[in-house]
Amino acid sequence: MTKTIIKVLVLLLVISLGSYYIYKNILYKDARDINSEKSILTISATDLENEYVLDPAKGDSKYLNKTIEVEGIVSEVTDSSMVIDHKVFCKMNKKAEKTLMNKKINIKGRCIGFDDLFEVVKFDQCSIQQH
Amino acid sequence: MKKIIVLLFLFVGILQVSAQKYATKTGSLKFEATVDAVEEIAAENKNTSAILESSTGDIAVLTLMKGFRFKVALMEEHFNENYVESDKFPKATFKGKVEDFDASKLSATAKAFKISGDLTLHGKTQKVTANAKISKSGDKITVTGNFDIKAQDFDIEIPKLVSNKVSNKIKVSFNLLLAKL
Repeated sequence: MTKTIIKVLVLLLVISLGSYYIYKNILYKDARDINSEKSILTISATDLENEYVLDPAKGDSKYLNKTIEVEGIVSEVTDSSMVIDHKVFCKMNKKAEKTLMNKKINIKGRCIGFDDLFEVVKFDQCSIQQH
Repeated sequence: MKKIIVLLFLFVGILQVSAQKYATKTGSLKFEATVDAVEEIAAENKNTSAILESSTGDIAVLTLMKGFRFKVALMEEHFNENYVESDKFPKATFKGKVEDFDASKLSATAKAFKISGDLTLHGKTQKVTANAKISKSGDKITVTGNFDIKAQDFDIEIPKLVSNKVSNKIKVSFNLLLAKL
């Protein structure tokens, strides 16, 4: 008698924990947090853009959706974005400081692809690593 | 001979004055494919590039598919992997013209225009026409508007199982704040 009760209880526990797990980790899992992810490589803005210009498909296969650190000199600053060496556009998580203009910088973000109109590689969810 | 050269220079000068571009790298592009109000299926891309040639009304827009952000992470994953296949087709582009565009007649009050052209998405190109409102203040031109597309026109298949959740008709809206280049 107690054995069946225990069996039923264990079964119920497994079912409820299982559905909780599916709910939490599959249906409503957290979005990627680029800031806490480790970058797969550090590259200069110019080198990255060069690779994309030479072969966009290869660039995409190597860098698309990856967390990357880019280095270079800040060439443009707006409220929400920065451009490095006129080659890499970074959409920042936080408000960008105008005083960073022309400073050397290292930014971590997610590569979302190559923009033919402006000939820049675009990054989003960017954060400043050092300057 | 000299006269011709001078004339040529003048001509080039005029061309450069009239070729005036307005552009943004941080335009907003939203879409919605919600059926009823069961679960909102919508995403926004705040990193959309656009260039408007104000002398002719030619407009080019480019958005990177990976840049679309959803409220639900799983939705974003399905969007990228199953629907638009953003690894294979990383961008969507629009090349078109603002009909009857005259930059000199723009003002701070938004005027209605039609923008028509070719939209390339998921490797397919289709003609679309958007209802737009355009206004100008100082060196900034604001273009807002919307249009509808059908997922099937772009070879995006919506599985039967979710057809009561994901709409085949997709509402796209844009808000582009263009600054003088």
